[in-house]
Amino acid sequence: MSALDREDLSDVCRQIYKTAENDFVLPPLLRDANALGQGPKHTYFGLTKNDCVRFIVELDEAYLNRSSFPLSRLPLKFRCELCDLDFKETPVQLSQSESRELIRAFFLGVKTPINAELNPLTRGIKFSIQLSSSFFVEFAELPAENHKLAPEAICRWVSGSLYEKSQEFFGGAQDGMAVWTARTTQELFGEPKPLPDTYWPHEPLRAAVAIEAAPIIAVNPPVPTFAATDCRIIAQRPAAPISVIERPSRLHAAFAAMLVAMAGASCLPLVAQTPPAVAPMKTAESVPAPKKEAPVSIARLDIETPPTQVSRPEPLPELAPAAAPISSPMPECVSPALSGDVQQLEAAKPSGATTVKPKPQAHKTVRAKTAPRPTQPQQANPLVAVGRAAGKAVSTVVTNLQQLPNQLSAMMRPHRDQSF
Amino acid sequence: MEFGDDLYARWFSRLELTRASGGEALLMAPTKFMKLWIEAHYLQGLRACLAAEFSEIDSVSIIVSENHAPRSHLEAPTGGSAAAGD
Repeated sequence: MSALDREDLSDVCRQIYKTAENDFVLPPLLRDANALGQGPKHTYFGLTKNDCVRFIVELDEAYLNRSSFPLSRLPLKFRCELCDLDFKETPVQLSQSESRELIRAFFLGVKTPINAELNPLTRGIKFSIQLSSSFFVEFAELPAENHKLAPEAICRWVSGSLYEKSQEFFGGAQDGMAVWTARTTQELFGEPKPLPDTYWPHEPLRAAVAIEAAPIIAVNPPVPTFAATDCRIIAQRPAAPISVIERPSRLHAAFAAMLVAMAGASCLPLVAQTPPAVAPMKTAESVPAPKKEAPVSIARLDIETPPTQVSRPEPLPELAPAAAPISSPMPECVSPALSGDVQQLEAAKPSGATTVKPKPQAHKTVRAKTAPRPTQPQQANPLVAVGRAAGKAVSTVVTNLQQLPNQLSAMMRPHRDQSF
Repeated sequence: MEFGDDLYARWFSRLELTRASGGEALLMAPTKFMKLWIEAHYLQGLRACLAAEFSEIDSVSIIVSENHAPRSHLEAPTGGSAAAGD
């Protein structure tokens, strides 16, 4: 069971790393001190928020006395305890994982010269680690025929040899090799020793790293402007499926639909797909329109479903009411020019083509826009008809645009709100 | 004798020529191990290369830098050992 939280453990590791930097692993091995029953040991204290951690490293004399040289492991013992600040209560032993983290910090920080010496007999290089001012432990000899080894390979070889003699202190080969590789590159090749924050970053940095790896929950995270690191983190986030485009699209669709309603029904054919410029009026007349579907509005074609007052499904001819609902915006939007144009079209239809009764102009306009109708008889000159229809359409648009301010103000009146 | 770029980058790029006078070139290595390794494996070739460039040089010595002990970035280097070359 863990006695320390992660922040406290990292804090103690940083303290041990820094404090042990000027010490050998063991103090000088004095025979007198041993006779007094005080074995050679170093004691380090690391303060936490409420308690302190006592970290003790000492010579394992029992192993040292019964073993022959060269030693098969480093003769060290560690004790890691959690104490109260007054040292009145019985210390609590830290868990194995916590102890290993502290030991890792100690080995990374403590002064452990790795000495290399040429063996005059074999011409190989003997390596030893210095545990105290006078205590050296030989751990490996690199044969002379390996003179072509690269520094990285030498580091791996030396680190592996050191790990073999200290593996009981680490949680696994990966941890142990990482520690000894770092120390070997420092001792043999002069690499600088990193700051403790490199190994145990402070909590804000760790939280930032965690944010970087965490899945994104907020759809629209606030833009940070206070810390460069956070900006970097935000920038490195994967692109989230933010539906930002929906809002402007919806607004655009509503506005476009409102303009269409204001401008009248003649605007709808102007944006029909084929042909694009003038033919819509002609298309509406010439297409046999076998389908019973209502014409597609601008908003449906371009973006998405517009608001209800515009995208309202329009009735089929035979089901259409005799009069358009009062809530429909179309009667107020239809210009006299458009109505007259539609009347001409209605008059050109063959008799009996529709059973719709004669209606007021505005109502006829609605039906002319929505209802499919039979094919018109062919004009004598189609180009003339096209030109005429185009001119009328343009004039209709201009007229409706001129009326737009008045219509908008009328829409804003309270008693008109129900119709939208 | 020539050393390739790879070998130079591995072992000789961190050597510093401290002095070249009196027929001797004095090089400084960052650690004792590097001094020992170069002396054991590359000293003859190094001497030949230097003699080819500077005809007056006939011996090479390597010493260890004073600040070879690993220190953290915040701490000023203190002391160290020096060893004479051959």
